[in-house]
Amino acid sequence: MVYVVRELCVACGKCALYCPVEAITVGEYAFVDQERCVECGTCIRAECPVDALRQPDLKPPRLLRKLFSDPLATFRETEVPGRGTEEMKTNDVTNNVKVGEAGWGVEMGRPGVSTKFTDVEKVTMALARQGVEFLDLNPVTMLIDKKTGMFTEKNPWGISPGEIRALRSLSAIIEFKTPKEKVPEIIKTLMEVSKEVETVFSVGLISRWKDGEPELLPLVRGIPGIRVYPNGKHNMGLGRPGS
Amino acid sequence: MTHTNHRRGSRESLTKDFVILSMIEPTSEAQRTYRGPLEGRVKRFLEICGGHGPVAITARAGGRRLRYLKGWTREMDSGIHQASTLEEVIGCEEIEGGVGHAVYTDREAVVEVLRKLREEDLGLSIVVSGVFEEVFEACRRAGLKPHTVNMSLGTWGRMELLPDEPILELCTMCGHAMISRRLAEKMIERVGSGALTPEAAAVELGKQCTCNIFNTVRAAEIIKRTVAERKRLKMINT
Ligand code: SF4
Ligand code: SF4
Repeated sequence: MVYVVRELCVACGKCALYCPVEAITVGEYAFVDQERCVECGTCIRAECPVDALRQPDLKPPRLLRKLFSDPLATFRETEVPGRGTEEMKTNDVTNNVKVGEAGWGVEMGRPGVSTKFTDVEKVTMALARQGVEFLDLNPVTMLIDKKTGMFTEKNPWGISPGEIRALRSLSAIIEFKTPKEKVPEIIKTLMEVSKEVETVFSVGLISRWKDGEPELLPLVRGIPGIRVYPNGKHNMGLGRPGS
Repeated sequence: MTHTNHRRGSRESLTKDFVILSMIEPTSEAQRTYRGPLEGRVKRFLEICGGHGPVAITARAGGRRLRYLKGWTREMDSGIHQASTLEEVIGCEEIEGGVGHAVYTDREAVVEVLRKLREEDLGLSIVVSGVFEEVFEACRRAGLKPHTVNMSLGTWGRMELLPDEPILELCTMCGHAMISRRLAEKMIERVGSGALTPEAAAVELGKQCTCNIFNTVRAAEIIKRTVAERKRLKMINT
């Protein structure tokens, strides 16, 4: 875990300025709140002027904070990136999200708020009750029972559900698929569970392109309280093989 | 991995913000070997992108990320955050994997890049992030149509935990949330006091985005606008 060598620290406050989750407070020396710290590495990269910050090699369960939060870390055991699958970026090659289907990315803690894993589980359980198909090759999926959405000890690190619930990360992306007819129901479920979490989450909806617009756009347009942002991501269909 | 999604801002501001990404599906051998070695194809992608005035461009090569970011000079380097020139990124050897990206403010540049990518048929999955109408128009003019779209339905839950809008606009340009709100506030404050130019402040923020998809030109405009607004409201002394 990231810590400060008190004897070296000159309390300049630089690390606290760069920490995205305000886990560092500075008095006579800098102090890292270990519950809030998500091991993202930003303070280390910000370069302490007297080299007083340390981040020793981490072991599970603490290691998972880093894997979910530091874009420069990789899940070596699983080769799954901490920030989820290739999502729609290679859908022109994989055809993972087909016409008639909805791909979803519910990113817990984003933007920049961070999330406790108790909140992640609230959302995965609510979604499991809707019978969604959680995507493999996603780090949240690896921690849950896909039928119930509850954390399970059957994960690559063998850590217990209790240890998982005690985690916090900068973000944790829940990725799943549903038939397109389920879109209004999933939105309702997410709206309900959004009142129960102690954080925020950002919602991405992946749709195939059909008849001159995203196939799912007419489905979401009329839902009260839902606003589709003016900007998004577009796969250009240039990847060729398998398409 | 949705790091270019959920950027916040007015339509007007977002209209000057595009990210073009190249990627291959790790499990697809056919895409890896499509029309020759992958390295050569990614290099060509970088050459095409680099030829149309990117704000940022990034290559993964030789075990590191080579990052060109407009306004970032070597004197501004810190720790692992090290600037590359545009020529260094385009000319790099030992390219690893299929990932590369470039950031633009200008739709015409995006049209030209897409047109060339279509003509050269590199077999790389290309994703463009930006305002829907702008990207659709760029597609149409480049002779393309989108295959799949990721729409942002915004942020839900405890909205009171989010910072003010201009801070959010700056911070969400790094989808991995590596830019702290305190740093964004500090940069606005320092520009307001005349200690830093908006461009230099934008670079300091952009350095934290290790994927290098931060748009320093747009960020400098947001900072200028916010400083002017806060001065008007007397939140910053003149
Ligand atoms: S950057 Fe280093 S010296 Fe400054 S407060 Fe943090 S640990 Fe202390
Ligand atoms: S590792 Fe990240 S969360 Fe932890 S103290 Fe450093 S900057 Fe903050």
